[in-house]
Amino acid sequence: MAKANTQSVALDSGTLDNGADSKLAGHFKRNRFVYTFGALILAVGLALRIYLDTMGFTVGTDYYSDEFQTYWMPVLYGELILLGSFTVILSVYLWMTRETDASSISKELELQRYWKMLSIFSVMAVWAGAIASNAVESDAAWHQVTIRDTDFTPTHIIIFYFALPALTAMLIPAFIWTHTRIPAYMNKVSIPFLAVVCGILMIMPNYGFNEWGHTFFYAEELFAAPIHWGFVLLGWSLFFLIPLAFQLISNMTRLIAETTAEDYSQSA
Amino acid sequence: MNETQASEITASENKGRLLDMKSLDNPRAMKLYRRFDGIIILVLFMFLVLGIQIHFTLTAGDWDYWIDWRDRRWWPLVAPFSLLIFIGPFAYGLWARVRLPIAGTVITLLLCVVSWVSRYLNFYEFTHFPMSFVFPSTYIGLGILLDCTLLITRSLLVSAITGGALFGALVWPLNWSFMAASKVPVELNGMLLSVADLMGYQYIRTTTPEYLRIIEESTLRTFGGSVTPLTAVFSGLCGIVVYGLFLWIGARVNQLEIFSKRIV
Amino acid sequence: MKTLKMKRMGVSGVLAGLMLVLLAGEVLAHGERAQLASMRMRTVHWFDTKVEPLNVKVGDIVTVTGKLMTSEWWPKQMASIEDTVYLNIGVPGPTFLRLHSEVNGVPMVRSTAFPLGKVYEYKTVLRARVAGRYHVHPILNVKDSGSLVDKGTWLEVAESDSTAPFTNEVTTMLGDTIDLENYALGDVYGWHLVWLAIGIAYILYWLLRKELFIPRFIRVRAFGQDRANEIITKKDFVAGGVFFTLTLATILGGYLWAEHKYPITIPLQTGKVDVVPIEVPTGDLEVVVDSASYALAGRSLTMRVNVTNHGDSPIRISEFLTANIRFLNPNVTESEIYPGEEMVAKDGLSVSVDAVAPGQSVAVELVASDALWEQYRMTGIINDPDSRFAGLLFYYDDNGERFFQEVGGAILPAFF
Repeated sequence: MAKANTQSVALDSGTLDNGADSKLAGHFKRNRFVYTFGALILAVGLALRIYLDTMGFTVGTDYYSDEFQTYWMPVLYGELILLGSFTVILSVYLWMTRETDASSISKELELQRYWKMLSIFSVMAVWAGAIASNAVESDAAWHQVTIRDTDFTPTHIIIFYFALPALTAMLIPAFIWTHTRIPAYMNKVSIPFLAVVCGILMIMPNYGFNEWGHTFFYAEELFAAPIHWGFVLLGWSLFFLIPLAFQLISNMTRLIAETTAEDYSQSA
Repeated sequence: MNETQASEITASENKGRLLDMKSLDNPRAMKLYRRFDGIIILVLFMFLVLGIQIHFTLTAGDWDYWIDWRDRRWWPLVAPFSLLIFIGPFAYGLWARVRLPIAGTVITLLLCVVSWVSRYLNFYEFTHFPMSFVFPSTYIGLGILLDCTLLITRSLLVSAITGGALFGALVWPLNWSFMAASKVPVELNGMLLSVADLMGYQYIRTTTPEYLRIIEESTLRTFGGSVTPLTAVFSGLCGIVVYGLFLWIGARVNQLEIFSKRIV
Repeated sequence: MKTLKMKRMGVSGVLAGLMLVLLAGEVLAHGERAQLASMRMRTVHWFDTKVEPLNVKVGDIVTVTGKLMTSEWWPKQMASIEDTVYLNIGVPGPTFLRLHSEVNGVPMVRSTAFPLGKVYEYKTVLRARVAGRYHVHPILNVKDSGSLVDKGTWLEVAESDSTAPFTNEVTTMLGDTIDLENYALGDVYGWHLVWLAIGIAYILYWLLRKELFIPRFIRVRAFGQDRANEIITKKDFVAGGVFFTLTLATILGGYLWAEHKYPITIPLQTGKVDVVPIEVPTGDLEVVVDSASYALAGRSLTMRVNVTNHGDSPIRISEFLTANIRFLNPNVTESEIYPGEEMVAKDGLSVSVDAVAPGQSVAVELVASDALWEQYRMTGIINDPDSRFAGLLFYYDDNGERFFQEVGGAILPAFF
């Protein structure tokens, strides 16, 4: 299914022989991808937040009540289906349509794809900020005023089964896209990128340890308790953002330097 | 890129680097570089917000949520210890690669901003606590001191010793300006309480009982009651050690700017 | 579940539901049904729980009183209440202020310890703070074991008649009257703004420059690590010195300012208090459990006990209480049911013997049976690794005086 790259590399709608300036213009286009998807996920986040605020304490404190089953469990199932299918379908699609011939990708197209990669990261960043300012401490506030019943409690349904998995759902396809579309990443694996993806991904299996511990040896809502440090350790995977950023910087620097040089002629 | 790698760079890489240098005089390239700056600042800062929020809330969060947790013995020790763990690797990366001494300030500043937003949304709006009981602490001053020692001494090691110590030691005086009010004495049923204790009692936390607080309990051996300065000195020591350790970890992590042929 | 308002809505979509819930402001405070059935039966027996009044306005006082007995069948695998316990109240966040709480007359601002097999009378005085409908549960937080929950009572809190914002005024020992709702927030905002401003200034100093990440990266790489520091200019160095000094001066200034404004401060107060327990009023009845079983597919618990009356008045068994469920014997009328009280099976207990005469020793079969048994997931005991039960048996003498004692033992499921 892998296809050879035959895309046009024109970054500017104008003629190609306008010189470096016109080629440059393509990199300054308003980034609709970021605006659209950024707004979309923020809207989803906002909707969930409003839902939590209104339905959390009203019908969300008792898993065994009919109201909980009516108003919260469908949300959970919906989230799992949505995120699961999004991740799998997009990942499989990106893999099946992967490009294998790095040499056929021109420098302009490569640079364009770097900008696209940054756009994807920008959307994820907006989501990361939303999780940090909204979701993380909502769970803290919740557990410190309500009695723990089951793992499926409203704040968990939002943060553990949507907010953080949504980040993973974006990271995994982004990882595959990067490694199948950008020459510097093709046919090999970027270790810092892998570390970031794995760290965030592993947060989900770590719920297992967390809830297992809460079932018998750890009953109280001390947030800084050792049982929660698994999440901390996985959060440290973000340390790898720095090497990942510099991987990106050194590659993009060279591409920009080359494609904007006075004597640069467009590659085939 | 470190020196050993630099000595092994190929001729074409050398040519490329010359081209990179030349691009600094090219306004078109500089324009793109600035565009990149804007994006990377957004991406990096937002992920840092997530990282520090998860890290801090699960290692020192309880002390930061409630003013009746901010005691003299544990909070000034735990909070800087936790923060320096997260700051270390980023401080190393940003200094070693681009000579930007900003990690400490950026992380403490972002933590403060996100804490205010989060406390408002989650503790004030969602669970009805008054802001006077759940306002966050500030560590921004400590971040600036940490970064400035690096900037002035231009040495990660020296900044770890000086800045790390200051970061650990000054938590209490930095926050005292707006925290002292909560330590004013009140009486309830013949018992002495601080205003913070009274708020902890009155504003009900169903699953956060009084005994859960990890705070100073009296002992015979408080050296004349000088708990705060003693904690500050010990916290300074911890600051040096933990910051140094995580700078080192940052150095190791930064070496992993590599590719592997396959996922093992 | 008692949230009938929700049911009345029918299936008119989530949005309509949202609106109704918003209007109803109904708030549950549960979680106990997720706890293991045998744990609920063998930890603390709550009784005589009374919440009054049941309809209040914001600012009004609500009193929660009741009694509890610590079970002698306390599971050994759980951290014991004999170590550390805190009397608490289960409401969704500080929708109430706790003005006062006591156990056996001792104020319960702090934690304490309860020996097993003793009785404690508690009282909590609340002041309504946020309007809504709440299920109020008395709670004991037991260190390392978690929250032990009494049954809830629905409480309506209406908006206050006055439009003035809610205040919570107290007078400090220095004579100042303060409102804890926004106490010292001006200082908090002010100092936070100062620090945010300094922090942002420092960040902007670094970020608002022509050459940032990529150019600095190129230059640092070109210089090599030995000479890379040359990228830090003299101006940067001076700025570093200025920010360093400014920061230290502000920290010191803020500290001295606060010391001047609040010269008298104390550390946070903690430490356990002691409570003298009350002995269990068992009367002169001796109860020995012979066997017990519960119907797995049904809703009943059967106990066979040997009862000996050593006193001089006939005794009538009135009630069996376990896991907060009251099974009442309809033939004994003395048992009181409090307004708003839940989890009461009014004729849930059948006793094979009407009264135990003085000096009589008799085998009695007690059947506690009600839908509540199922509703509160008591049949889940089959999933517990430790199939034992405990509960309180209440009984009256001829003078109408109430006695009680704890009974317990192994319990078997009956499959058919």
